[in-house]
Amino acid sequence: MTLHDPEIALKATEQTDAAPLVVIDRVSRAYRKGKVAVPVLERHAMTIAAGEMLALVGASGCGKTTLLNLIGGADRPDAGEITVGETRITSLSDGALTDWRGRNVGFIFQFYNLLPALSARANVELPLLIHDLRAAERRARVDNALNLVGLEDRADHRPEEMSGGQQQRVAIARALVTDADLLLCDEPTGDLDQDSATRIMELLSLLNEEFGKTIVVVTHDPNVAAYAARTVRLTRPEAV
Amino acid sequence: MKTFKRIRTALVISLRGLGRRWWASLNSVFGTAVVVAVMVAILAIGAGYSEAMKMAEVDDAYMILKGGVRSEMESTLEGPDVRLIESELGGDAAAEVYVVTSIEDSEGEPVNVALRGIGAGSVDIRPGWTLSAGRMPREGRREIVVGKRAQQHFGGLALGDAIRLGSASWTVVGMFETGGSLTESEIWAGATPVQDAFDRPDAYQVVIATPQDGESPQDMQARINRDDRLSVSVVSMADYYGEQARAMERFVSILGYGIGSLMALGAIFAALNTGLGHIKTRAKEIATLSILGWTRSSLTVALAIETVLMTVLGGLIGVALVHLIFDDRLISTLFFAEDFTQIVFDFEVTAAILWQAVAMAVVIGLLGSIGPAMQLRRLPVAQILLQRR
Repeated sequence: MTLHDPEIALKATEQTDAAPLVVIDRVSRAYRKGKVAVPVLERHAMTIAAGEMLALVGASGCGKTTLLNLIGGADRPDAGEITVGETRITSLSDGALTDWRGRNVGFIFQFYNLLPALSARANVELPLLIHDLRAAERRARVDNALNLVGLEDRADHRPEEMSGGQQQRVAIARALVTDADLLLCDEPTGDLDQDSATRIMELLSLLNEEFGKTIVVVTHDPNVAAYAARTVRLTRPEAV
Repeated sequence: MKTFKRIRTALVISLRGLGRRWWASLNSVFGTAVVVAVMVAILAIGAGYSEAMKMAEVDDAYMILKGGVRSEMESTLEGPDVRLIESELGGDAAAEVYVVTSIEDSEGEPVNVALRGIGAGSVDIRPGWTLSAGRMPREGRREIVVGKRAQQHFGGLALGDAIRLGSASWTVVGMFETGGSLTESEIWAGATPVQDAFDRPDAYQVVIATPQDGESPQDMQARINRDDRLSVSVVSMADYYGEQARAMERFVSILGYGIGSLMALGAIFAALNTGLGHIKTRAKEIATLSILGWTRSSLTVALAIETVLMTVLGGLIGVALVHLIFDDRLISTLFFAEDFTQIVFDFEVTAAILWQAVAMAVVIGLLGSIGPAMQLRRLPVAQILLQRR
């Protein structure tokens, strides 16, 4: 029996008191390598409570990032259902899923994924550009997000003019700027030194504790996982 | 509305990053510029030629040639026949001698020009004809007036110059203009001195005549040929020059579009290559926008628009190049008929050619963006976002 087993995952969820924000119901995902289907997730089930900070850990290739992408609507399962809040995202069309993702999920990646030609301010503003907001409101939101991550004085700098830790804080500000309830972080400290990593995790903890953000962190690092209230260890299903 | 906003913002973001990949973008800009420049230049030659031909047409003027021939060069009307024709038509006719002779151009190369020996009514029958400098040749003298474009393009035709035509030396005594038509490439003299210099006693090539009200060329031909001693062909001046213009238009269209299309293939591949390069270098940016809420469709359309903007910019540069290099430049080419005289005309970049150039640039951009668009749609966004670069 592994943590992919639905029963175990559900038991883990039952330990939290809050209502579930994310419900993963027997989700399977496999990738093809030539003619061979390599299963990464198999009938995986779990829930994530609203306001929870959860760490997904496990060996490389066990499906942590895949699960994160499925929760965030960046990928689709081969089977199973995923519901986030009131929305069954696995039933959405591609366009609707993209729209939902832009409004409800903040992504934070190991390598920041900031646009190099844009300033920190412009990078943070990006997710707001496709929403119906006036420029003044966009500016206010961007200022708030940059203040929150402590980068108000670096707003006009480009990514290449900032340290890795600062770039990751810009990425966090970008994830926050739409006021998404769900932040999905894939190895957010994987490219940072220890001090910067500590600051990033403290910031994520603050967002979880003070702002009630639901945060899922994929990590190899036990020190990072220690910031989470709950840790789910994934194992890789057998290849077929 | 949201789709439009996504496309617009994706395009703006992409254009803001253009400075980082300007070299690759220049590839498709200048590839298209060269294609469009070549096509516009060729079509402008055709348009200029056609315009010169069109201006040479005189409303309500018919050309009477020897029966069964198609050009002035082939036609010979003996003096007695010409007098019978003039007698039939009354006063509104001018018999003309038409000779192709050789002079040197401004670079000393021999070129064929048309020497027209005119009659008393030749000027009156061409309403746009004006003497812009000097005077008309005197009766019986070896004096010539030259068309403005002939004077500009060929050497040794300034007022007072002496030039050898046929077996005689001639003096330039005037210059005429006809608004830039084919006629401005000609040299005019009195009919009799031309006949003498070229050993064509009492022989003409054409009679230019004004028809009676409502009379068609066929009617006039039938009227003249009622006299059993005569056999003539009558063609309207509009049809005569129109046919030459159409032949040239066909030729330059095939040449322009043929060469343009072949070169466009190269430009399409340049645009395609640039687009594929952009997808490769911008994969992170595209994946990031995709994860942040931009749909693949909006990113694809933005990519296509950017590609088209680059190729249209290239097209405009191509047109500007043609203007810079060829504007106000006179072109000399063989008259597209059977007499092989040189005619001189302007490059004529018409509005239609401009639109065709822009359309070609758009087509190059659209076709060049198909491959990159397909690649963009297959981009493994989630994987790309995990990569360092």
